[in-house]
Amino acid sequence: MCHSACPADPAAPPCLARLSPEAIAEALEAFRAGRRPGSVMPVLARGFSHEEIRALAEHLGGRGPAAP
Amino acid sequence: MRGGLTRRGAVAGAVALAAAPALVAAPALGGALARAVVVGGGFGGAAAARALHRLGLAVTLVEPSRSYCACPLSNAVVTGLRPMAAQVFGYEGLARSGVAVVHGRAVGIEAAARRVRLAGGGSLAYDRLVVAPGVEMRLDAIPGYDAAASAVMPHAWKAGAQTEDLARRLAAMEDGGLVVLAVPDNPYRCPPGPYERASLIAAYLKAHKPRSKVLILDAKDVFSKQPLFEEAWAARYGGLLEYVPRARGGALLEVDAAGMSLRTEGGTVRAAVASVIPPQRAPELCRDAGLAEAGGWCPIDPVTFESRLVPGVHVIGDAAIAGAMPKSAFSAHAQAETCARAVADLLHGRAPETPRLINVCYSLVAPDRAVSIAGVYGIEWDRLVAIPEAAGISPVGAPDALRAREAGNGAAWFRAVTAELYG
Repeated sequence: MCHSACPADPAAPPCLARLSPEAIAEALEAFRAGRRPGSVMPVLARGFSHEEIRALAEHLGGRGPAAP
Repeated sequence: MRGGLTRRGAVAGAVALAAAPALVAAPALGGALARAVVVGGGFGGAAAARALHRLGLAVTLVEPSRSYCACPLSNAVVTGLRPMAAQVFGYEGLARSGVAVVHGRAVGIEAAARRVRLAGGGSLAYDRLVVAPGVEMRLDAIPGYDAAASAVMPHAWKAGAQTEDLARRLAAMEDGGLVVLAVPDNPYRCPPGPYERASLIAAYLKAHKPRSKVLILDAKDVFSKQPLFEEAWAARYGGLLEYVPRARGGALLEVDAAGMSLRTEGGTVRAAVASVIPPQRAPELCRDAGLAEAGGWCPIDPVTFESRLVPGVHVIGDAAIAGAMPKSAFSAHAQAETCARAVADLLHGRAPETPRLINVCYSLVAPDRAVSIAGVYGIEWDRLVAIPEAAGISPVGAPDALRAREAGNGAAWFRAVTAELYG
């Protein structure tokens, strides 16, 4: 939900609908492993297994129009 | 999403099977659309209505007000940072989306007949009922704090007229005045909200009335995001803000609204402006319908959010006992999505999946500066628990840029969620 204000809202966090499932899964795995800094996302990513992250990424990614 | 980590996951199927016999009689299975009624048009109710409609049910939303006044960010209205109009949303968008919106007050639930009674007569039939009624302020809990006193020392804990009243009182206060904010013990709506309000009041005083002070009288000793608030208070507000926990006599014993005085275990203070947030409970409808237990809140099954006391009725949001989940708009939204999927599963005779829920909550510590708390919740046997490694607050000692970014993230969430639910 935090990510869904895009693309109209430049202040919002990254627009997931413009990212591929692979890119989302990679970002979540990086948050989960502590390789990528953040405040909310590392905490949330630790609540999901690798399989769940993959399923989430498939669900969230690449639904909207492609990036220009 | 699959449960895996819990024992409860193994018996989720059994729960659904137990529910199945009741479904045979449901008209849903006869070809007509299953009917869901949602009571309450706040974040939880609006999200449930949208989700149930998306899942193919015929949905009726019952809400007495013609517009919704949102609580998140309403503390910024109190200190003049934000217009009230930015908090107000109509129900036209929900109606356009295909949800039938009935502006009426639900006054009773006939669980055996599966009907909701409305004030002024009439009732609505349902196959499944979702109740998202928010909270009721208890005006019988603090001696002296009754309805008349709440008009003088506004809680402003349901955004609306009291929010604007508190804003006017603060704006009209002369420099040198004492602002008192009384905070209840857990559980209550929006655990970090009082401390956000205190922070923004302190920022307002610092800018406009620097000889004044805000005093927090707390009925507890620990609170949400405490290290982050304490860091911000020390760095930004110094003597403009004083916090008195229960251990130092912070618990409110009595108020005298006419004299603007508040008595605690630590003594009596006289306020120029007072905001008293009283203890809360599930609203009257929940108590009358037998949804609430003695403590005043509604016990639910965490997989489906179905009441443990009244079959066929689901309770989400602030009124529910949702284990470790806080009473927040974000939680209510997550619970609405989970509940709606479970309702659709139950109506189709499917076993609801074991859910995983998320809460994220931002609090302003200054205008345009925020801190956050986040958590993932799973089901451990029969209750919602926080997954220990997935619970935390934004880092203490973080650079100002992160606080600024989190303020932007919080505002972006508000814009997105209100656009989705009310747009």
